[in-house]
Amino acid sequence: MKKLLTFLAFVLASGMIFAQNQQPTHVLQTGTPIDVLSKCDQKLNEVSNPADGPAALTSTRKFGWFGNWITIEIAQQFHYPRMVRSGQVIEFMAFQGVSGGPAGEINIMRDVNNEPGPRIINEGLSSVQGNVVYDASEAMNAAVRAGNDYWVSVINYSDSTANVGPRWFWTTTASATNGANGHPPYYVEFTDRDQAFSQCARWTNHKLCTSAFQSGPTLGMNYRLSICRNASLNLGNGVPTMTQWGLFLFGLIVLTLGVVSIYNFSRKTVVE
Amino acid sequence: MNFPFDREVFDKAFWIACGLAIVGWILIYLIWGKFLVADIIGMILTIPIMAYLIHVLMLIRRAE
Repeated sequence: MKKLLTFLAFVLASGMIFAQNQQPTHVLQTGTPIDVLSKCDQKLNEVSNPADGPAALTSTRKFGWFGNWITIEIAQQFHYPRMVRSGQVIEFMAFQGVSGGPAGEINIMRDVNNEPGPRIINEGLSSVQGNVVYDASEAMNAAVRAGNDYWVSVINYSDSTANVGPRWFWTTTASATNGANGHPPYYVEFTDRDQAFSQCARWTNHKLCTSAFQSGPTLGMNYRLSICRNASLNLGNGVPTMTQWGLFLFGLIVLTLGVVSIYNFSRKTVVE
Repeated sequence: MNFPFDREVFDKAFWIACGLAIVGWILIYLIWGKFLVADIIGMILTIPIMAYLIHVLMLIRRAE
């Protein structure tokens, strides 16, 4: 009897071990990554195209001067605060509500006079659709230094309809037409169906650059980026919940005790 | 509480529980498509309890 009760106590204790809430943090999240985001200590504002704020600038890039593929890049300024404790690193970045895709790039750039400067990190993203958790690389952590301002941008390889209507794009090589006008090698241009170009700053916001031109359709892109450093994992443990096995064992034990009680009651009745 | 135990009946019930476990494994694979460590531990704990439950039910039936 004593051994049996000890065994049952062991089973219950094992059930509580099963009840540990296990939350994977380094996997692609298909749902709303609320649990993941709660561990992020840098939640940036949501940005979308066109980016109109001073801390969120738009640039676009066209693959091939006369090609059809065009991308848009939205950059967002952020301050990377000092570490709360030593050894703190960026573990992952979480995108929330990104539209576009199916793939893209993430960049981190230095801040130069409140504008995106040289790129220090350029890595591919397998997906920029839905809610995505992107593992930060060692290179990313080595490149950013706490206490400085940076720009983070997401490039979306998405739109193959560049010639449908007026578009923004960012070219990496000066065309003969624009180069003749003394334009720098990197700039944002505004083009329409007839390939008529006008120059804007390389990084700009939509309102500034389109003030003199017809506004075209915008490439759909919208995201919210959260930077998650491991120190924020000390926010507390999740509320334990019983797993399916824990619930099953608990129910089975209660059922067994109930059946034993019925057996004992029936035997007692028979004896009397 | 008195916990009844009949070794002979329990042995029979244990094999029935093992048969149910095999069905359980098949169902787990059909529903989730994979096995986890928790499934193995859970099944190891469940089989003797289930066997005891079946054993008590068999005792009740025999008493009737």
